[in-house]
Amino acid sequence: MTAVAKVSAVARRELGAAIDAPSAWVAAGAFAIALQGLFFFAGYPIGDLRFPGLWEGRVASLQVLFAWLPPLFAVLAPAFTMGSWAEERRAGTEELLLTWPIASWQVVLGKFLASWLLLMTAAVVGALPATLVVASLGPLDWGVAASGALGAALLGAGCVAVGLVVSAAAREQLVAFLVAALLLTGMWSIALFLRVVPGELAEWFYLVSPQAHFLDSAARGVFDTADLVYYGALVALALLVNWRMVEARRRG
Amino acid sequence: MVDRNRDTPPQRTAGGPPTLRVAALTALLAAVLFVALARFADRHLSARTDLSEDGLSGWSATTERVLDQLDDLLSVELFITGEPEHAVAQLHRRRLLDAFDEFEDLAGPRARVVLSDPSSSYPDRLRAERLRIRPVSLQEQAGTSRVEQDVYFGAVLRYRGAEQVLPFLHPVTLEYDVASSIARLVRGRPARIGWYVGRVPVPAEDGSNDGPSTRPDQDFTLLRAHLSTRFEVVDVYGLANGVRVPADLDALCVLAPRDLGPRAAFEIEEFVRSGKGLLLLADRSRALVEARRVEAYDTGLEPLLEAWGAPSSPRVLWDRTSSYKVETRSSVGGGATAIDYPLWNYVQGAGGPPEGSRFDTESPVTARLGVLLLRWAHPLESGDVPTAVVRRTLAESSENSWVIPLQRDIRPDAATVEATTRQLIASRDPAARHDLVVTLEGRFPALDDGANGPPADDPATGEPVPGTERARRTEDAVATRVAVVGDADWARDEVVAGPEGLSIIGQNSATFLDNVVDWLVQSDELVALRARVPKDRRLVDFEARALEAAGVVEAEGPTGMTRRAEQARREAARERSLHTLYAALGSLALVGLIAALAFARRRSSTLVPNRPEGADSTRTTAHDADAAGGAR
Repeated sequence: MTAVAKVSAVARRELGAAIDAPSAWVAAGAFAIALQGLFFFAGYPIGDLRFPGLWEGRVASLQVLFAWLPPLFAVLAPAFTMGSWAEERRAGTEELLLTWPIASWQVVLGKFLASWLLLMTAAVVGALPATLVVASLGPLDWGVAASGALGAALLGAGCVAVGLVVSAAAREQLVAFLVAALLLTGMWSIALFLRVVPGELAEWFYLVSPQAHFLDSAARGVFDTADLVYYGALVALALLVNWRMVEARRRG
Repeated sequence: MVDRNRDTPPQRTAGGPPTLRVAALTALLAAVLFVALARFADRHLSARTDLSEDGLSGWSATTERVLDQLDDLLSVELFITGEPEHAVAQLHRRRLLDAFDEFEDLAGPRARVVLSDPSSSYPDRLRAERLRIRPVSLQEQAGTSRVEQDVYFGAVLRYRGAEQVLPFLHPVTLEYDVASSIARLVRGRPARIGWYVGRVPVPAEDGSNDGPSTRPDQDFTLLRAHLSTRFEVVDVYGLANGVRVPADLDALCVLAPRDLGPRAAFEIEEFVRSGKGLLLLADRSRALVEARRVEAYDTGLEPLLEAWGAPSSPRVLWDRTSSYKVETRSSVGGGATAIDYPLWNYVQGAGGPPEGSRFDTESPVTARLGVLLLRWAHPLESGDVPTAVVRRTLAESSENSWVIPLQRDIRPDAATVEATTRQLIASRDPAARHDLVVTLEGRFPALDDGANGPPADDPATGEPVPGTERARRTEDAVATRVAVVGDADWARDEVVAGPEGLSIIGQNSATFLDNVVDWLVQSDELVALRARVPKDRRLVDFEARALEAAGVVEAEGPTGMTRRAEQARREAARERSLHTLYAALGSLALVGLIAALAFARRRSSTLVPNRPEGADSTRTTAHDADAAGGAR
């Protein structure tokens, strides 16, 4: 069996488990309702980037939807990843998993892919119908929509990777969820403090915030190689840490 | 090939390093590495693609075309504060430096960008002051302390000994500012634009407007001032008295000319035939709003426009669809009410109704223009266009418009408006679109078969002075551009003025004027750059649609909303709710689809033989291990 097949087998197993569990459905449903409610009615009233809701602004744009993705992903991604390791450990199945004839990195990658796919599915469920409604009512910029979708996929990958690291370190699902959500919300809210920190620090804050690498670029239709490196590094390093932790446990 | 050794489950050993400490150390190292990588990418990777339809991020091909005109090295010196303490200023600085990095890549060896910091270097500050690049004072609370700093965000472009100063660089207008500065440097001097304003009668002593003497119309000062920021604007006088249009002008703007004599028309024609651009606001009426009446007059250029195939009608436009709302006093109760006034035409860019008035979206002059408010506009009739001239319509009225005789009384009154519209619908004259702005491009034929110019008028008496005839200078016409607008009100101060400078409508008028003048002086690149504004992406206006469907002309009466208008608004709210529901149902359908797939998968998995009964699929089982182990 090839490495790809093994990764795929782990991913399928994780996906199947997630679909069978009601918590994933509840989380995805809540996400879709929240996203659409915020998009159509509430707008984005946070920080410097403020947008009215679709019906108030009356502009065929997905900016509000994209603006809400980082904070919503900060909650949804941990909801999908919290059980990946913590639940295995709680249920005692981690021991069994680690005795599988499969390399640790394959398990890590399989779990990552499954959670990422889940998150993206939830995002599509929430965003696609709203996008089609907007497109039917005005001249939507499909270039920006496509770029935003790609950016959202990268953002989602980063959130999932961080969520998996926390899940691997935590003993309880709830702890994994809370810590990961706090960490990701912290990363997102960095942009809110830009005005109150000294200029030099602001640049560093901006550098690590998803705002710079999603809302100020992909969500506006600009695809930047620096963003690719940002998300690529975030995902790769988070998965590396995850792998190191699994390896340590396997050997320990 | 599979590394079988790696797949072998490692032997579990006791006494390894504590997991948490390993995790914490690895995570810390990873975080440091992540920030370092992100910083590196941010500093050194500049490749990016703008996928948006508007393409507003980054430098466009138009700038590259402007750069192609450079024969020598262009030097760009940025005067930017090195370390702004203010966070927003720091990010602004960062964006500007990124933009100029891209500019350097685009320009290659044609340009060199150097950075100076007037905040830390005294000589740099002196040079910035000499160039009139002034600092912007920023004050803001930063934590517990108050940040107060003067920051510089200016630049100077130098080319062949000449320089163009940009006192403040704004990311939104950066490309236009830089490209237009380069264009000016290449040209060597700003384009010179002649400014001729028609003369209006000086009120007589009895207060009537029929005095014997005239003075230039004073109503175009705001747009003139606006134009002066980019061009050298020169007043042109005395055309009727034998004064020629200065030959060193690049284009001439003739605003609301009134009763010009044949000699003035001849001078303008000669100017155009010499290859220079002309913008003509061929209005034939002037509304005296305070007196509530409108007076008709001739421009004196009718024969010229007739010969060019774009005569302006003495009648005015009545546009039922694209009319502008004006406030009026209700005859019942005397309260203020807003009505659609068909004599005021609101030409809209994208977002207007399909049957409404519209711009030519193919022409860069009007492609991205938002609105233009024309009042008592005189449509430009379809004449016989000379063979060497191409006529193009840039703005036209709605499908539901007519041309009606000018009425002296201009009081907007809902009953009169409705009665007139009904009368027009019932008339044999069908509603149709009418041209409001046209451009003419090519070689213009000479009037009167090339005869010499008529005598000049005496400035005192206004009578022609024999012996002052002038011979034609232009035997063969040079190809040029002319723009004709059937109204001058869109450029008047009373239309464009806002509380501080120009109103929103005024800004659109200014953009239109900028675009036309750039087009006239053949700066097509700059017109194309200015057309690079976000496309109008307004949603369908449910409310307007419902109001129109309900036949509501007067949305608000003196006692509040009418019943029909209220009903229309409820209808609009219902439409919005319905579309929100569509999105929610769409999500629900997708969830259903996924659920169906999951159910199908579950059913198929239960049919797999040897699956341990009652196995919890969320947990790892020996069966899963077998499945993952596969070949092993």
